[in-house]
Amino acid sequence: MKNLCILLAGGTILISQPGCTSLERFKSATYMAQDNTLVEVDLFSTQLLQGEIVPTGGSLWDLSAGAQTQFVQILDRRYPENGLFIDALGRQYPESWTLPVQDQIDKKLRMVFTVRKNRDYTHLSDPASRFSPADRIEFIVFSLTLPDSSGLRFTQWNRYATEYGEIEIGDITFSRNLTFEADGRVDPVDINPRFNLGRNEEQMVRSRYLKLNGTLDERSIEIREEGTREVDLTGNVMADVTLRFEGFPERITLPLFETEDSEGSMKSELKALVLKEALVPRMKDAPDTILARLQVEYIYRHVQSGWKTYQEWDDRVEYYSGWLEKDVPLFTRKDYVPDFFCLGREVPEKKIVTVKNLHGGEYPLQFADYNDASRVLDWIRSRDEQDPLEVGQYTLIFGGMPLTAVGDAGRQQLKVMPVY
Amino acid sequence: MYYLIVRNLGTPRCIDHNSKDVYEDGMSFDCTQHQECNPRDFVKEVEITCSEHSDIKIVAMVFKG
Repeated sequence: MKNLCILLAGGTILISQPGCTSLERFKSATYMAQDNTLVEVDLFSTQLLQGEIVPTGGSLWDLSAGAQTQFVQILDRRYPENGLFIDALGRQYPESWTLPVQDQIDKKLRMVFTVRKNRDYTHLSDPASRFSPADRIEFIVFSLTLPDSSGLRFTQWNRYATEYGEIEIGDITFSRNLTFEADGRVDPVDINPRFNLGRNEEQMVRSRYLKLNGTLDERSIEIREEGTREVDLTGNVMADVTLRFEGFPERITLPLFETEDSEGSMKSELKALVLKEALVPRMKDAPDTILARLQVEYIYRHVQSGWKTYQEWDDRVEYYSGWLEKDVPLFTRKDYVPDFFCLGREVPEKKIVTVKNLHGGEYPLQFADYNDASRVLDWIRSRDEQDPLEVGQYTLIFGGMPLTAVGDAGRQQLKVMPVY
Repeated sequence: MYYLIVRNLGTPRCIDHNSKDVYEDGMSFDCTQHQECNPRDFVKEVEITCSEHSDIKIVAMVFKG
C-alpha cells in the first residue's frame, strides 16, 4: 500500500511537470469584452526646437594677413574715435545683403505620448474586478491626425526604423555520454580500459517581438507597440516630427544704420532699408490652440487568477479591447505665430507705417526683431525736417500720406506693435 | 473704389484697389503689399494666386468702399 501511494504521488508529479513550464504563455485565455476605461493616453508635452539661423559672412579675423592690414587702416580712417574703432574690429560683416530671416513654416516638434493603466486597487479582491497587479497592456496602436483647417502636414520623423525587443523564454540542454569499458587480460597484465566521452550543449531559446513601429503620412502619424511576457506598455513614447504649414509670403525689413559722430555726440542715421521675403503660416485666423485628433486602440491583458506568482504560465487571462478618441493640443498661438513687429497706432483704428518704392509698390514696414523696430522708431522721432521721410528708394507712408517729421501729430503716437 | 483684401493669421491686408470690380478667380497679385484702404461693403470672394508663389492659392475678399 505504501509503495502504491509513492507510485501515485510520483505519477502525479510527472504528469504535472509539463504544465509547470515557463514556456507557456498562460493557463487559459478568453476574450471578454470591450472596455474603454482601462487605459489612458495623453500627448502630455510638446517642445518646439526652432532651427538656428546660421550667419553668413565673417569678421576681420577671418581675413588674410594682408587683407587684415588694409581693413584695419580703413577702419582707422572711418572711426577716429578709439571706442568706435575697437568696436568695429569685432563686428561680424555679412557676406551679402541677406537678412537673418527664415521662413516660419517649418516646425520641429517633440511629442511625448504617455500611456497609463487605470489601477483600481479598491476592488482588487472582487471577482468582477478588471484589475490585478499582474495586468498589462499587451498591444496598443495610437494615431495623431492633424486638422484640415490648419494647413499643417507632417514632413518627417525619427521613427523610420522598427524597434524590436528580445526575451529569453527558456533553455534547451542536449547531453550525450559515451562510455566504453572493457575487461581483459594480456599476460601477464590485466587490462581494464575505461573511456568516458561526454558532450553537453545548451541553447537559449529567445523570442523577438515588435516593440515599436509606425507609419507617417502627410496628415497623420500612427505608432504601434507590442508587449510580451512581463513587458507592459505603460510608459512614455517619444517621437520627433517635423511639420510644415502652408506658406503665405511676407516682406520683412532690415534697417541698416550708420553711426556718426555729430558735434561730439554719437548719432545713428538710417541709411537703407532692405526688404526680404519670408513665408509665414497660412491660416485665415490664428486660433489660440491648434488641436490634433488622438485615437487609441488597445488590448488589455487582465489576469483573473494566478497573479500571485511572477511567472505567467499559471495565469487565467481575460482579454479586453478598448478604444478612445480625443482632441489634444498641438500648438499654442505663440508657438506658430511669428514674432514680427511693425510701427503704427491702434486707436482709434489700427494703422501701420508702410514704405512705398519708386514703382508704387507699398509694403508694411515690419521687422523680425523688436530692437530693429524700436531703433527705426527712435530715428523717426529724432527727425526734424519738414519733408517726407525717405530712406533710399523708399518713402515712409502713414495713413495713406507721406510721413513727415514735423507737424504730424500722428507721428508722436507711433509705437512698436506686434504684426499679428 | 473696390478693394482686394486677404486675411492671414487674423490680420487683414489690402493688396490691391481699383475703381472697377475687375477681380476674378485665378488672377495674380503681389500678396506682400499693404495699401491704405477703406472697405465698407463686402462684394464677393475670389481665389487668387500670389505672384511670387504661383502655387499658393488664397481666398481673397472684394470690398466696395
